Amino acid sequence: MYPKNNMLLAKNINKKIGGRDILKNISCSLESGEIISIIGPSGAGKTTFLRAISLIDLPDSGSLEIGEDRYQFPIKRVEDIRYPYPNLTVVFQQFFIWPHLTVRENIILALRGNVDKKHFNELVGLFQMNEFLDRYPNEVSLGQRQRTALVRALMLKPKYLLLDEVTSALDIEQAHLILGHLKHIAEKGVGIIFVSHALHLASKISDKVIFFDDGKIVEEGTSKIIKNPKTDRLKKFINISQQII
Amino acid sequence: MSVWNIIYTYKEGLLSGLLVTLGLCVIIWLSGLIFGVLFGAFAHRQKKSTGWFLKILSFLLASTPVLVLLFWLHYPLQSLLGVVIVPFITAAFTLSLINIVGVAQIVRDALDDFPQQYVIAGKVCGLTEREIFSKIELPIIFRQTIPQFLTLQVSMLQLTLFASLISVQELFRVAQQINSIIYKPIEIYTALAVFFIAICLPLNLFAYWFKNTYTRNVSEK
Repeated sequence: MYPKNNMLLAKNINKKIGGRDILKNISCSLESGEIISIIGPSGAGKTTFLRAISLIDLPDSGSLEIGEDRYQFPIKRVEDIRYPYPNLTVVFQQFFIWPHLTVRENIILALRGNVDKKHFNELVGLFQMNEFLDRYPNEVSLGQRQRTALVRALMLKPKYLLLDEVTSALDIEQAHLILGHLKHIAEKGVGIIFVSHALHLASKISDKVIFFDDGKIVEEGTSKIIKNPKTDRLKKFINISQQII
Repeated sequence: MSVWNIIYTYKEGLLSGLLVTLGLCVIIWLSGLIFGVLFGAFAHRQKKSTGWFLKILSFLLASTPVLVLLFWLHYPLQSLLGVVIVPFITAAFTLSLINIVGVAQIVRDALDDFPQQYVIAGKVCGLTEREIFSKIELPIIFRQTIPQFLTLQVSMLQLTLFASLISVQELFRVAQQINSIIYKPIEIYTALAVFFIAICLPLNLFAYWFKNTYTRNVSEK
């Protein structure tokens, strides 16, 4: 579906917020068809990293390659940035569903009338959205809003999909349904970065897992690192997570 | 003499007063709509200059009684400047100023408080700045501000009563003149209320309906 050489490459990304180093020299690469899970405690910098590599909050230094586009930070003129959207798109933890539009209108607004009806019906059916398609966001549940945000992004057929805690408001069945679909679209060539607290979900679908702590990558590898962590920090994090579960 | 008798007997005087009141209203409403929206948008864009000016002006106006303001602008200011301006213009100017500042504040607050996440969501979906403005920002801001805007316009209509202080021949002044002839204050002021209710009630009901139908919680709760 997509050329295989598509790649998102982040090198030495740094970001300060309020004088505090939130991201410290983070590098990572995402190939087409690959799923990377970013795990770590709250405040580790996972969401900041996602916002940095999606150019929502520009990094202070480092470089970024998104397909054929190159970005070197700091960027002097923000007006000159060629944004990669919707080839790269983001689904946020807080969903950001437009409140004045129905669920259906939210999903199709950015398509400017070019709605792939087959794709739309497929996704709406898969995520069981038929019953609330014509309701407004304030009339649906959190889980339904989360599915809306995800389907809105999937309808754009992105090459890179960045997901921030997209299963947080879903029950376990829906979470598995969504993860299954993510696996399916990754097989078609979409590169996915998936930020999550849920280690079992991360280990299930990821080709690569990155563990963040205090703005740094502490450990990375295949999903096996969740079962056999090398660093004490990741071991401690996994132990605490398993105790909670 | 009943309320309806008074309205019927003095229909010509009341009608001319009503036309003056409506004329004042049209000027006040339009100036608020045009200049208030522009002023509010500038105050949002240039927070340090226009924004502060709007804040200071709105505090000053909110702290000054309308009657005093009308009096100052009509008597002392005109004698200070050595000019004579007809009371209708002075009243229209004073009340327009209050409305412009009121509308500007509504617009500025709506723009300042607009949740940026909706803009970001539009951006990452690939919408252009123009599309984000016309399809996301504008409709949300319009829906959030219309009820407040209508309520303010109803208040402005009621403030036109104060124009009688500087001899504007509007509805309240006509009512006072009729009262000086027949001395039936309860009936006359009830007749006056009928006119105001006929205009204000539909506007208030429309604001209420609009708020309940179109205004949505934009906080994502």
